[in-house]
Amino acid sequence: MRIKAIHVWALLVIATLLSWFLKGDAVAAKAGATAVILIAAFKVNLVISHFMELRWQPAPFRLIVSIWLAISTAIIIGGYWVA
Amino acid sequence: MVQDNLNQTGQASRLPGDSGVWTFIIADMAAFAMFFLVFALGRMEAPDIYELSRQKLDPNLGLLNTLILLTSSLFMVRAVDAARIADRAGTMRNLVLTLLIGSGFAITKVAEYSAKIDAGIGLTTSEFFMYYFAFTGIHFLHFAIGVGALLMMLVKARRDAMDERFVQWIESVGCYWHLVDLLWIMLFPMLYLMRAG
Amino acid sequence: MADKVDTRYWRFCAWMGPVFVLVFYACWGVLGHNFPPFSPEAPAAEVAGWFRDNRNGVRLGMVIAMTFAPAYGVWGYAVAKVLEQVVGKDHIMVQLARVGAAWTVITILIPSSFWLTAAYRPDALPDWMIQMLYDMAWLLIDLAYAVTSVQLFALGVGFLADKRAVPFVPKWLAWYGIWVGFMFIAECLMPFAFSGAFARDGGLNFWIEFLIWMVWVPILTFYTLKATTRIEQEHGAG
Repeated sequence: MRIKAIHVWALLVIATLLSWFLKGDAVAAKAGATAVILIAAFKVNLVISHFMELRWQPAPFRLIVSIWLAISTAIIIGGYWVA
Repeated sequence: MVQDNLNQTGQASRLPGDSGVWTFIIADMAAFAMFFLVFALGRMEAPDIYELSRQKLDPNLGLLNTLILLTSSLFMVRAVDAARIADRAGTMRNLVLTLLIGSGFAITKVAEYSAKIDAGIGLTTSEFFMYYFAFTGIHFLHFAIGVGALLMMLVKARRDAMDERFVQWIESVGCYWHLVDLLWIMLFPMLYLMRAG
Repeated sequence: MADKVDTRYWRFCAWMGPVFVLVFYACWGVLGHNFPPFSPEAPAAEVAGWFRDNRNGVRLGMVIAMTFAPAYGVWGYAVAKVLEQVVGKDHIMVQLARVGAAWTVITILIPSSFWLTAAYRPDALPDWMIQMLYDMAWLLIDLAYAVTSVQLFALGVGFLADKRAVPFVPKWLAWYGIWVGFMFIAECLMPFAFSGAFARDGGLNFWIEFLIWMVWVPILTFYTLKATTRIEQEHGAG
């Protein structure tokens, strides 16, 4: 069963609002900033899987895009923590 | 999360859209990964300046733009689905909605840029703002090309046969439009939301 | 069998592409201190001092770079010959690919003459003037990006029209070229940046932009040479 696009959209909106909540003073800045980027990575993954419909087959496109996402997330979070 | 290798029409898994367009998409994603790297390295050098600059951004407009692009993407998915069952009216209706909602992004972005310029903030204000204008500007160019591609699809949806070729066209444009969305999903928290600890 | 295609000299011309990249790197880049360039923040005295100390190296580098600049155009015409076999002789994409290559030669010749001017009588020129010539050359060579984009777009769009089972130029390479032409737009930020990734010596506007273009030339040459052989087989040796 394919997940209905509107459900994916709802999940994306909820994730966006969650990161909105995390940007405030409710949580420690470092944890909040890290969580916000991880949520973004989760959202990007949803878009790739369900909106772009990029499946693991045929390779290698999905693999490349997944590696891109992992590297991008690591760069942003890594740069933040080192600073 | 349940996910199998069949799409809605029950075809075996295949690459949505054109493989050449995917080359462009992946090259483009690589370019944005470079942007993230450049930003991360710059921020490591001067976290305080980056934080002060970040606080001058309006996260409300960033949030609004995220929601606009996500919603526009939803209608893009529906347009592709409609095209797959050769539903011409549905394809056109959803393409129009994709465009209408998507154009909100341009309005917000223009408002945001002009507010920055009115406040005396420009490309040369700080390294943060150089990157802010550069990355969002290049992203905006992607958006503008996407709008052009969507308009072209609207013309094609009116005129062309709803065949396999058309489905490949609309899938390609759809994937590109989602690229515009997903790049913004990363840019938004990186520029607007990462508070210094 | 289709008409005979005269492919004589095509290979020689195609090889001019990689030759150009190598000579340009060595002479314009290494001898001319342009690979990487001086930072925009480098004091005028530093740039001027370097030109005075290395005047003969720069003169030699620019003389050879200017001599070999047309090699890029010659290469561009060879690639356009293959494109003719895809879209037809009078196709606008063929014409644009040619003028894009030819114009690019000019955007290399003219700034090279500015660097050469700085090295011609550096003792007579004040520091700021040498810096100005150096800046002027860089502003021109970077902001002339759109000229090369014309060639990149025309070749990309043209080769995408190839209906052969195995196209002369693979789809990914055609799209890669279009992407390179598109990415060049980051050069628009170069006049505003004195440091960071978008400065003339920056990670993006120097390293990435020059690299993605210089890599495209030999890869496209490879497919041009392969296509030349295929055209000869399709049409009988010319």
